[in-house]
Amino acid sequence: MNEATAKLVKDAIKGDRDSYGILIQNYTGFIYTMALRMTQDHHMAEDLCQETFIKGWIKLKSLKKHEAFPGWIATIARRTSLNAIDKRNRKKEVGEEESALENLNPTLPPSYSPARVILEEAIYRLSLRDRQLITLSYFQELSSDEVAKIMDISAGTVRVSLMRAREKLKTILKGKENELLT
Amino acid sequence: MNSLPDNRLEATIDQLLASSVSPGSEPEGLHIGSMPSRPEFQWMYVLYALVGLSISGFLIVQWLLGQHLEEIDYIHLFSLNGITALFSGVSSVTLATLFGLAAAGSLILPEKLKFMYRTL
Repeated sequence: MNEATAKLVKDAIKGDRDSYGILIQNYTGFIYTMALRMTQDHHMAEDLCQETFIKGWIKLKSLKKHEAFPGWIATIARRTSLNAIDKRNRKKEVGEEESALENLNPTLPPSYSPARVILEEAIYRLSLRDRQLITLSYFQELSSDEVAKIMDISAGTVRVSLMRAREKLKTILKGKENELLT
Repeated sequence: MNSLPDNRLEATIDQLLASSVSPGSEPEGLHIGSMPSRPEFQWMYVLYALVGLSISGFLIVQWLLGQHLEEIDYIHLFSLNGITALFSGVSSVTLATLFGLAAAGSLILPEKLKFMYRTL
């Protein structure tokens, strides 16, 4: 997988839009979920997803280790989302009550299955840091060292925090096994 | 020790979490638009700058050739006295201000660069 990704990145750096298109296809699910869990807003997550891939396309030449693309694009997505959250919070502070009310309830895409909705609603009850950790750690292509680098914390903290976040999630979802399996 | 339902719940959560970030997990209808053109290095500006410098250089050389440079006493001009005379008009306050500004700049610049890096 890493070699294939590295090859696609190499070609995309040379300007091959089709290769970057395949990278987008492979990572949209991950990047969208990351943005959704951070912002808790489906529409905002869609925009952030687009913004992340555009930033990635423009800055791709600066990526020296081609196989490190997943962690690199996740870092861009995280920073872009954090900036968007910051901007939204500032808007709320200056009294845009309408948008503040809009974001009290997290919005999810209508196409999600009932099990996915239950899972996402449970994840929303975790802290912003735990939501990021859970999302990054379950992405197969990232090691705990890479997650630590993205989150700017130690690998040990990642492991301990992830364990705690999973426990919290388990407590929230206790008794919903059957609904989750549907 | 975990009980059997606990294990089942954990396994279900793990499975759902992994599939929620896998390729194809994005919502239906989510489409990433086409990518813009990458900003290219402006080679024409480099060319303009080179042409401008060449013309300026040519004009300066022409002007210098007309200044009878062979009559200038270079040994005196580049002597210690000649160089220190250049600074005679600069007060110690001015030098201290310049040093202060340079020090403040060197302190602020790395922070600014870090901030720019974080915002990218």
